[in-house]
Amino acid sequence: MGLVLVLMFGVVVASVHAAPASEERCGTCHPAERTQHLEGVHAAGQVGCVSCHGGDATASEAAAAHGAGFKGRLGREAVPGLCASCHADPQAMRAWGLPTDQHALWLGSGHGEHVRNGNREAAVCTDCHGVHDIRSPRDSQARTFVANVDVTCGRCHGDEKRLAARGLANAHAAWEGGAHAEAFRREGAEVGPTCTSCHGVHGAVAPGRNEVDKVCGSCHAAERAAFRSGPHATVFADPTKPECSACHDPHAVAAPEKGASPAACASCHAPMTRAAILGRRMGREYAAAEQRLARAVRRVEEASAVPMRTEDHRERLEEARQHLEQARVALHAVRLEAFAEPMRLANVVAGEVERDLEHRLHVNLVWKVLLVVFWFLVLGTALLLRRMRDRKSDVAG
Amino acid sequence: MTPRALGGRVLDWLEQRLPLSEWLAFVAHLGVVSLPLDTRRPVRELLRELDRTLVPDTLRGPQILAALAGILFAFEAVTGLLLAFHYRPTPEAAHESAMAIVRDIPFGGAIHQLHAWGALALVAVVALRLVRLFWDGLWRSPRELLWVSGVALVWLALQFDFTGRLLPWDQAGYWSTVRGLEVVYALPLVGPVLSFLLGGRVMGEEVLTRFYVLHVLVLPILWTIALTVTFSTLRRVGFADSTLPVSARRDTTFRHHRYDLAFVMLFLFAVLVTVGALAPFGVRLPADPYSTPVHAGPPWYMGAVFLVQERVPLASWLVGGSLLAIALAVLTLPWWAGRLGERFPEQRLRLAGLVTVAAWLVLGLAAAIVGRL
Amino acid sequence: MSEQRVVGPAAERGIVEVLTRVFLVAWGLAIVGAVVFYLRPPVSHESTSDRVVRAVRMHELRIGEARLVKHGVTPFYLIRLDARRVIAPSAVCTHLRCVLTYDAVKRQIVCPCDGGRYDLEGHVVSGPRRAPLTLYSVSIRAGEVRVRV
Repeated sequence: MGLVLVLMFGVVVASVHAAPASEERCGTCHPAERTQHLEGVHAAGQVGCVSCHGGDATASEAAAAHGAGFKGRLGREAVPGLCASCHADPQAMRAWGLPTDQHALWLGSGHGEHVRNGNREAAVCTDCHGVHDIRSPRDSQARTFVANVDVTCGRCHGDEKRLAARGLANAHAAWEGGAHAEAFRREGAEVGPTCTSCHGVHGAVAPGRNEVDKVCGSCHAAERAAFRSGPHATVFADPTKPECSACHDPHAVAAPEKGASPAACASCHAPMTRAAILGRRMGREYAAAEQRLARAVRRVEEASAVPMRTEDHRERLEEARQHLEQARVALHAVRLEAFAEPMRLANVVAGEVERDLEHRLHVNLVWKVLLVVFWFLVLGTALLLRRMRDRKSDVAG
Repeated sequence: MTPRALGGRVLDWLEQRLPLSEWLAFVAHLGVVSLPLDTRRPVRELLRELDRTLVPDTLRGPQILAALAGILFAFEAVTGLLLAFHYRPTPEAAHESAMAIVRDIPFGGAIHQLHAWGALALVAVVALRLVRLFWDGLWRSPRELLWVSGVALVWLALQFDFTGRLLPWDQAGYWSTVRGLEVVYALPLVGPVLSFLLGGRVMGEEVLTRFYVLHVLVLPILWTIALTVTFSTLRRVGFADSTLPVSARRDTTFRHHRYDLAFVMLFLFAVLVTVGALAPFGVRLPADPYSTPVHAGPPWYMGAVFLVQERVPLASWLVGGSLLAIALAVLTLPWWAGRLGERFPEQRLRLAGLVTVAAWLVLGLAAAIVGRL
Repeated sequence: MSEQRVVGPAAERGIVEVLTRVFLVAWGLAIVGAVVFYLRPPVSHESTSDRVVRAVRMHELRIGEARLVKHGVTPFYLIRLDARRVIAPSAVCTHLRCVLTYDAVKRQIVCPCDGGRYDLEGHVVSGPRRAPLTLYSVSIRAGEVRVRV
């Protein structure tokens, strides 16, 4: 076992042609780079200066160090190839348990395609991973750490100047104001969807028009199933039409406005067509049910502040929420049959809770009004007591 | 037969078998009447005569405070007894049962409100009474015991509050008690003894059980004793205005007095019901020994003690000792203040008392403000 | 001071007397009523699911074995008669609410307080007069014995 490890270690060291970082003398003149390098994961992996830049790290003079085989500063276009010389090599990566497909994935990504087409701004390895301070994606300070990914992507995709030059929309800002970012902030980076959740990592690419429902459906499975069961599925089978993103903004991912006239429907369906009327009706009903549920929640809070026993009501509210959730999922089928029943149940249950508590709160209020009656009784009794007190006390005597 | 006649016959029947006149004298001795009674005569005759006799009207002047202390205590006893029917004094069940009383049991909320507001009123009444006794010099010989029992009533009312606050086992009560126990423990000499009696410094089942027993058994007995001493010494030395000429005295027949007593009880009840209905004591979260709420404060009247204990940069035994010395000085006021003589006449003494009370209130207010910061 | 006031006509006095009684009775009824409502022991709300006891699995119960299931105020015996049948007689004597014991030899249920005996159908075999023993309904689903108490 030990022998195998030593052999593997030897392979790695041999393949990067490097002496241990501590023996390198480049830092004497390049202290900032040296510091950055030592913070990164390459220093721990004994990938030193010469591994990328060439030259002689043991030389004590600049001329000698920058001598034979010295590559100097590398151009952007040379970066992917240089990284790939190790990271696409299964022999080199085996000891570290790292995948070797990143370079191939990158070549197939939007970034890779643009670089091949001569776009000098499209991302290469160093744009996301850093230059000298390349950290492990498990390091919470790394640019590639899951919680930092949105900032890393946003450095280009949220940079108004660059985007304006290419006439692109600000995807990062849209995401930041949307439902996914809210979930990302609320649930934490491991759960909440960030850029790479939909676009992939090294193979980052905008999902194709016909892929959208599959990408979204990998999390929103129930919605996807409902969507596929409805009439929209056949229409959107046409590969030129977007699926989910026809109604939901792809980056802001907000729930489309429900209510009197859903704009999402109007973008395809002319007003007063059957489909538009159906959409309006479902939107209105859903919004009404949501409001009713919110009212019931307020009543429960009011009642438990009194205090009243509200455990049963809270359970019923949970039930109503589940029905409403089913109705929300069923909305994606855009068929009234699938939508009507959960909607009705949500309304009934929330309404029951609301009415019951309203009744109880009303009774509670009546008690306070009864105070007036109570004071009448008190004053009446006081008057009688006074009369009896002031009466001549001959009865007892 | 009218109910009155029937009542008379029942009394006659009982009279032949029980010494009712002596019972009446015993009850009278507890402060209901301050009159000499001839226990050899039949009770009906005594009652008739009593009704016509002139008695000092204790419900028309500042003396009403003592009567109120008695009536409020009776309210507290009755409502407390009712609460005890459903309350379970263990850390696991206390909050649940308190919540059940307040929320689920019919009239439980009302009884709880009466008990809570009555307690507040009781503290206020006995405190006011102490101020009044001081102001009017009613601690001078031969009324030393009146003063001592007055101080005892205040102290007992505070202890009722201190022990009762914990019983619902909610966050506010729990943490207020945790801090209170630390203050008790910091008192020199008596601190460890008191902690020993209270079940230690560490909150738990032991402390809850002891607080419960103190609240429902020990303190009521002590209170009854203090109240008995109060009324008995009044019987012996007379009311403050008994030395006045007859024309200036406020006397009334006992019959009149009975109805006035009923008045006072009626209005007190009505006021407590109204206040409880309009400004109910909130129901708080269950006690969590692992989470101290932000404003875990002492009750308002203890604010001064807490402020001094926490903010004065002296050794805690010194602070506690000073507080103890002050308490002792207040208790023994009749024995040292009377000897001050010429150098400290009545007016100055009153001023000193005013300053003390004002300081107490200002410190309490300051504690409330500091607690909010 | 007010002792000397002259009393009004007798009729008015009668009304006052009656009113006083009415008010006193109203106060008394209100207070007694409130206290009675307050003191009434709270009823525990059991749902249907609480009344179905999942006692044991069938294979844990040997044939002829009787097991006392300590379920609240309605303890009962589970007695396995043969391969398929399990009965659940109440374990509370109908006479004085003593908890019964099982006599495996005679296959009878015995009251330790008065020596009265029940057979396995709940009928009284001997002892003082009393009502027969309740047999709770038993259902066996997927090898699990469920008793509705």
